[in-house]
Amino acid sequence: MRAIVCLALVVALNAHAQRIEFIPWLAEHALTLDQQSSLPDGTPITVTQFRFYAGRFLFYRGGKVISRNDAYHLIDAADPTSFVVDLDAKAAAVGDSITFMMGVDSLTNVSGAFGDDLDPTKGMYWTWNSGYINLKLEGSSPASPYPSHEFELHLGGYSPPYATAQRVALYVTGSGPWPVHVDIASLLAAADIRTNCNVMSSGEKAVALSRIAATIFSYHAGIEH
Amino acid sequence: MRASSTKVIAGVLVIVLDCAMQPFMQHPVMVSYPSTWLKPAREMGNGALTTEGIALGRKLFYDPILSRDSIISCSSCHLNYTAFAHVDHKLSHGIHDSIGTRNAPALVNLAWGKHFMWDGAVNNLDMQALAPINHPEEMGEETVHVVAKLQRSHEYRRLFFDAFNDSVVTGEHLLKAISQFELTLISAGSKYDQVMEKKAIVIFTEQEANGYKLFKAHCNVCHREPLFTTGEFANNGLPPDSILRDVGRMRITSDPKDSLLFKIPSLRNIEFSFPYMHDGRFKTLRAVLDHYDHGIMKSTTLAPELQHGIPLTSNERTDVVAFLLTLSDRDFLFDPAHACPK
Repeated sequence: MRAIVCLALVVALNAHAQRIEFIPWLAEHALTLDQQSSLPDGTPITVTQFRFYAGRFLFYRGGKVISRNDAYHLIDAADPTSFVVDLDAKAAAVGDSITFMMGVDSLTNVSGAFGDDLDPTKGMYWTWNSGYINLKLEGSSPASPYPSHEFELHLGGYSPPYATAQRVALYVTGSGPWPVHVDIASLLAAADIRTNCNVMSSGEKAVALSRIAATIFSYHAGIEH
Repeated sequence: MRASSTKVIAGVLVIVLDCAMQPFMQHPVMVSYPSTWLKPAREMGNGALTTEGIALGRKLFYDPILSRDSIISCSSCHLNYTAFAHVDHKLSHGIHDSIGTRNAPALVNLAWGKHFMWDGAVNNLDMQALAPINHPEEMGEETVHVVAKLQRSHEYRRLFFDAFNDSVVTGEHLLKAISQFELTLISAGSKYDQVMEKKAIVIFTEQEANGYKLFKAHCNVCHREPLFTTGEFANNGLPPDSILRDVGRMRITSDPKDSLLFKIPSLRNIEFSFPYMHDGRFKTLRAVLDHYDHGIMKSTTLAPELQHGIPLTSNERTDVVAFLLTLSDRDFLFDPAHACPK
């Protein structure tokens, strides 16, 4: 009898679990990997990989933190199940805004090995110079001056002055799920695919692009996907 | 009678099921070091080290399964009998006879380390093994492949379960096991240590004592007792090799102030860890002291202590070498617990 009550409780909680759904977005459409598309200025582009870390979620009501979810999630355009981040049910009921880290905070970067989405086998860790890669965006475009017209953005670095993880803030409404568009075209526009769209290490360029990357998230209420 | 035996069987079943559900309890290991030493940077108590974790790490350390061609293990370049360094090899070796760009450093007292590798590229001992595993001129392997290879091994699945209550091999557990073993590589039993203890009837010879006096006057600033390193970085005036063109710490920080700075190595067991320096350019301790006497290249980042070199007479250099040999710890080098598991 007790088991049935517990089960019912779990089902009830799940029914109210809040979700954020990250939707990689490329010029008017949800991103499809390995498919040629074009940037708003008409530049043809094919994205072959897009992955980033989101974590340390904080939920606010009237400017006060009411709930948190500290886990890091690796959002991978190749795996739609990774787009959805289940959050605290409490936040769903009363939250009005959220913030989260785009990228891995510096303390986590110096604290040794972690599992799950932070496991270094996920390919999001620099082994020649310790530290997580916060965001990977790879693909090709005829506009790229590099071999095979490819481009690679690997944004990472945790030590000042080249720390790259960014806190992103979004207002949300309703009881969710909360769809969040991730606008790859804006990041590519800032990276400038025609000149120098290869970043593979920490430094000024990674910092500048990470600041842009923090602005590519937008909440789209009530849009069906 | 029947009811009673049914109860017994049910009872046994409950116990069996209960045992199956219980996680295996690892056995915590406490490591010891002299009470006069500073607390290590790395937590080694509170179950951080276990018999099972160390045993798994030790097996991995000696297993070439970590490399792409299954030929190179950690111990290929870090051999226990030679202070976990690659004796007589200037630069590290890797798969397909490739030669790396730096000398494989001795491994000792790593729990006190804050940065790893000659340029401090690695910020935590757990993550260090990733560097040689992935380096194309060392093990040349993807970590995800290593995990897959280990997962195929019945023995490793059992060992990972014993160490972490999970037979599913992960990158996290692989790295933590290797670092557990490495944390046990504590050398504190040299003649120098025995002299410092002042309990045993061990004293320096006159030559060693004079060498120690000179060492404290000229070397101890960077190679600070009792670890014989501050763990920091310094430019010790080595002219850069024209082929390697190694800028040292600046490669990591991009800061010109870090140009030609390399990690200050511990001098423990230095008798066995030749050749010396980040590129293994000096074969003997005498050659090292000759460098400090008259080989220093001046540059803007040269360590302030070396602006005028370390001028020593020939006899004084001999005495310093005699002192450095008191840092050899044969109990450490030949400790069966550090050797390749049978």
